[in-house]
Amino acid sequence: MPREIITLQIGQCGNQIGTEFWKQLCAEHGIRPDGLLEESVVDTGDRKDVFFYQADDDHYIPRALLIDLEPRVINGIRNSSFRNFYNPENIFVSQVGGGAGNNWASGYRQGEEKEEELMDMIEREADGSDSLEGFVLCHSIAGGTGSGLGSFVLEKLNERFPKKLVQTYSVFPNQQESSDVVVQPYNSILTLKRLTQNADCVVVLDNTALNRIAVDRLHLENPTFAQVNSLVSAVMAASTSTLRYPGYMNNDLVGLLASLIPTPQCHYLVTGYTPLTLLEEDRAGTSQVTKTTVLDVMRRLLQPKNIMVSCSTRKGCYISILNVIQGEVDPAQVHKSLQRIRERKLATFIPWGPTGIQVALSKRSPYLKSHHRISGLMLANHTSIQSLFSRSLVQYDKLRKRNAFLDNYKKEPMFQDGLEEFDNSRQVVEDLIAEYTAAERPDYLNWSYSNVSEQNK
Amino acid sequence: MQKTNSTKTPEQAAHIVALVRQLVSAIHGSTNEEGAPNSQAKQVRLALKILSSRISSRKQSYADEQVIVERLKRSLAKGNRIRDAVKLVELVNALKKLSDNQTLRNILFLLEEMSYHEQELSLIKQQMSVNQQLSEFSLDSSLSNSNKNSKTSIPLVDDGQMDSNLAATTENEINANSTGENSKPNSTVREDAFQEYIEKENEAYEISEAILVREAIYAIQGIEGKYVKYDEQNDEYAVAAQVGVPQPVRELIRRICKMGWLYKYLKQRLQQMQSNPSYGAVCRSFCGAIENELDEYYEMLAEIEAQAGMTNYENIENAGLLTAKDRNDLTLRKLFVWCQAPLEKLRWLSVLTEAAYNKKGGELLSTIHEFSLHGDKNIRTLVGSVLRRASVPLFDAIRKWVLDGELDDPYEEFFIASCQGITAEDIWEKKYYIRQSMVPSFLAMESHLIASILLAGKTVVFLRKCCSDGSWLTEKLRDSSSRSLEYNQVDSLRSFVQDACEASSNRLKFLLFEKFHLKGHCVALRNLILLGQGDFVQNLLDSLASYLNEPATDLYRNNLLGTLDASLRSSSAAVSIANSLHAEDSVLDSFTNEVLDRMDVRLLHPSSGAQGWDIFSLDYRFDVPLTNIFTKDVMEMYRKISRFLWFLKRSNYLLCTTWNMHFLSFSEEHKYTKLEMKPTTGTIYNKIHFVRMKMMHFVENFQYYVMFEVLEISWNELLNKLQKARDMNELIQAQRLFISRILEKLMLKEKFRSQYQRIRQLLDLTVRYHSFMRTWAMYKSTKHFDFSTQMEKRDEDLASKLAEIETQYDSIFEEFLQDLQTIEKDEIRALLFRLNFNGYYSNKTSNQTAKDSSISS
Repeated sequence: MPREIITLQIGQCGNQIGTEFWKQLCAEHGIRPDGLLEESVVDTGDRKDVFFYQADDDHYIPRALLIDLEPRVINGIRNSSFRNFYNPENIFVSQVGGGAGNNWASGYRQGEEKEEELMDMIEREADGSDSLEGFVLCHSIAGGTGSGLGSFVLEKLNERFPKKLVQTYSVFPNQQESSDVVVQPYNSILTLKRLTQNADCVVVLDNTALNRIAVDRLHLENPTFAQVNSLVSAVMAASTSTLRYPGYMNNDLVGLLASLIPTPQCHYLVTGYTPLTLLEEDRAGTSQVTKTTVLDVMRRLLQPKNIMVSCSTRKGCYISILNVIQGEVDPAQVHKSLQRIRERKLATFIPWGPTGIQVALSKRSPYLKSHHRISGLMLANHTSIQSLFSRSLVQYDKLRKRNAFLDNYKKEPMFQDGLEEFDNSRQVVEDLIAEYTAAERPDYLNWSYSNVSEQNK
Repeated sequence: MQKTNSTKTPEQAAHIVALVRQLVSAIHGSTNEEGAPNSQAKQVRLALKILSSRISSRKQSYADEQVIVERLKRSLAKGNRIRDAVKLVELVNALKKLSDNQTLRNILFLLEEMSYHEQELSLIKQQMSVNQQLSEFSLDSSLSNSNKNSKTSIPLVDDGQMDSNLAATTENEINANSTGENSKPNSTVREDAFQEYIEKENEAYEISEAILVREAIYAIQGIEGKYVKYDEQNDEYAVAAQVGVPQPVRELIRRICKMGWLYKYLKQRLQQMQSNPSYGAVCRSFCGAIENELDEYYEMLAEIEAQAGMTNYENIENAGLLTAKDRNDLTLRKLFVWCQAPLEKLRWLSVLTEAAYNKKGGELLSTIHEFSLHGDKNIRTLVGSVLRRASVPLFDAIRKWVLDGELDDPYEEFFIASCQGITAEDIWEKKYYIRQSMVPSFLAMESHLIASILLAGKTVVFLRKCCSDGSWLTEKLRDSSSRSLEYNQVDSLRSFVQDACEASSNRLKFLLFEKFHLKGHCVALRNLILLGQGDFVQNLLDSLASYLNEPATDLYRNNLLGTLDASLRSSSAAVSIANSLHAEDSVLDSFTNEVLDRMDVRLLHPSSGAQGWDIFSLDYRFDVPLTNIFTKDVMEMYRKISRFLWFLKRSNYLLCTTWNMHFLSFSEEHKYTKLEMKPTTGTIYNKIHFVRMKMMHFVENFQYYVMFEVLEISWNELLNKLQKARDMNELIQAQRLFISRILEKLMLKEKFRSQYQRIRQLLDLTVRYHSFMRTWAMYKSTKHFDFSTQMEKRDEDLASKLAEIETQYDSIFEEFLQDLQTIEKDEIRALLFRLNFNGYYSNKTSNQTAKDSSISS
């Protein structure tokens, strides 16, 4: 009875990072693009069945649903070497094919229109698993499909599968560049409400930070989508490695998340990954061979420049940290590294409760040759994430003050009767920011929204 | 010289007898320690006989002073010394005036005696010069001997001062002398007297020395002779009391015959020891060794017999009539001297035999070995050669044991012993042991060697009986086994044992790892019993939880077994265990099935009111031969750890479930009630999460501690040790060390009782918290439909119950931390470090104390 996880990739971005994720998983498990195992592969006790199931002819099929409102990306997949990889029944492309036009409300509406079709797909896939643990949603919060349709699916999942976990990998827009999508802030705030209320855990993938890392750390002048997405897939693969290579602990999603997220509201996680190399480069073997130690890895993971969210972890405090270390690790080194980190005060923690750095050791795929002895992923719950929301809020407020670009939204049913949903979403995000800010204080436990509202009065 | 007076009154005679007796007893007392009254009486009788004889009084009987003077004059005249003769007459006359008759006569007697000796002396001088001319004359020494003796014989005999054995020889010499000097007319009378005396003496001694020598030779072979008999009373060989032999001779014979006694004793003992097989093989070969040493003794006897001319047995009866020349001059004295070395040896042999008597096997060897520390080199050599022979069966036994694992020891003399009624399950630990009393002392210092010997044999037995493998022993070892193993060659024994041990241990190790998959089973124990395989544990918890929540009495093993099997099959456990083998596919498949077969459930005896959780335990069944490594007590320890980890996992599982529940109820809450949330509810929710967070933090961090500081490190140690293990003992030790380290570090040992109890209390509280939250959630789900006024009251109830759980948890946790601080161990410090990584608990206590102090002030 594996604890199966169904991956939903929604929208252009969602499908792109999803594709990269599956590529990575196939590489790690020795599965070829046609779903059959590489001939050299032997069963090493890895759990492929968490993310795959086997068809009658033994080939592996990912538990993945590909959903988009325009066919471009999915057609690209259909024309790639992975064309026979996915279950064709699990691919949903809107017949209209016009997409959501970067309009959250349009995406949401189209979701409502296709609810039955979508939910049938999801339920069929869910029925195909013995003990479904939950859903993983890949999307971006800035566009129309990933954000709008994604939000709709989140709500529906909560309704239909109240006992299942919902985790999202949400790509936040690049806030430094002027985006071609001017309504980004509207879409973000509307999606953030659903992420806050309907997801159990949100792994924040900040395009701002991803691009910065690609430029600064990988020395790429103009990082492509694929290059950035390979960073994302590395993070996604590493964060699920304990589920796929079972060890003593952290072998299910709940176990992984339960200690990371002590209070339900604060369920946004930031990630860090080291050593950073692009997948292709890694495979080509051009990267330098350096000796990495557990302490090196753990120390680097705590450095803000390696964190894939553009908010400084120098301010605020960690609510929790989980480091997934892959590779040949002497367990005795872990304790020493933890000691060193505490001595050097490399991480500040919340004052109101017991917490610390958890370290999960994970096996590494035997089929991927890495030039690094060990690599590490950090999943952390940090209060400074609120600065990201604050920035979104500021941008939202700028637009909202001018009531700019609202016409397209007003066309959609949700906003036909007014823009309450905007205000409501804004309030949720504000509350979220307040929650995170409060979590930095020692008296957090005696704090509640009502206190805030009372104070406001 | 008054006793020479011929006319003695009865009083005088009695006085003389008394004096003689006094004299004899004085001599006796000083020279002879034995002082048997018997022999004293004999000596007195002898002395009186001599006194009453006419040896000294022969001249007094018919001579007065006139006759003596005449005789002297004549003899002087004969020597052309007329003037001397005249002078003599004048002197005698002058003396007559000065003294009485008696004195004069005595003086004259003295003078005559002196002149007689003078004559004799000159005569002998003449003869000697003749002898020297003849130059080669065998009697040369004895002649000069006799010369000396004849000069002093009479006064010595008179005084009775002379050593009796000298007297005996003298007597013979005189005899011989006198026969050769019969022609001397002036000594005829005296010779006659001597002849008479010797005849009397012979009569008195009854036996000649030659016969005594013979008899003594018999006696030293433990045979009674005509005269030398075994004296029951004194437990010795001696000349029979009624036989007239001078005391010194008697003593000499007695001393010589000590050998006889020793010999007889030895023979007797050896016979005793040999006739009783229960003394064992070592004892038999010890007897052999002693007999071997006795062979030398027989050789010596044969030589002595040859010397004594006893080869012609017909002559034995007439031996007394043989002359000294014919007897080849083997005297008792010589015999005595000759006997000294063999006597010493016999004495030591009998000492050894006495020491060895009633002992067997190694104990016997130890006893003998003690003597090898003797300072005398000869004795060391003797003991060494006896030991070498005696220890042959021991070394045979060692060889047999080490090479074939056979114990053929009906008389329990080997230092390896076996117990009856031990099954193959724990043959290794319980069947064979070292019988300390039988460890020979020359090996006792080599405790490692003894242990190796035990190990080598055990390994062979183990291979044969438990692994059904007999073909392991290489020819090479057999060949080298032919090299001799002997006492005093500990080094060669050591290298032999080491070689054998290495060969059999290597074979055993090979079999255990390759055929019996020792490592695979170790991995199975770690992944399954020690819950190292997370997905298996999860499956098991998922599927067993409902069963185990039932009362313990409702639990059926069969139901559980089915669930266990399903969990195993659906997890990657079996595959990943099999993968550790690095073997072929067919082997892997069969091993996977084997692991599934071996996994078992064990239910403890339920106490009243116990839940299924309390009595459930995973188990792993082993078969021979691995039962010898994973013995019952080792498996008991495994189960103990397993149960503890199981509790830990269960708490973790329940807390995760609660977490999931909370988030759901949170979302529901959010959807419907957020806006109307009462001011207190928000904080209550925080409280709920906070309690869960604390519990989770403890349970998770304890698990991380278990993983990093305990299991992984010990596991690596175990693998390392298994790899390096040279023999079965080391394999067992590695396993025991592994499990014992874990017990220690998990504080499952008795000395950590209080810590362990706190952990259990904390874990119990997590269970309580979970069930409390379930009620809470149920209440919440009905809340929306129930708007009765009791709701607020119930809210308060729930809040206070939560507060109670929290308070209890906090106080126990604080005690637990304090308890931990009392343990001075690196791992425990690491645990403390983990539990208080962000300093929350230290801040809390310092805040607490600050608060306390501010209150008190």
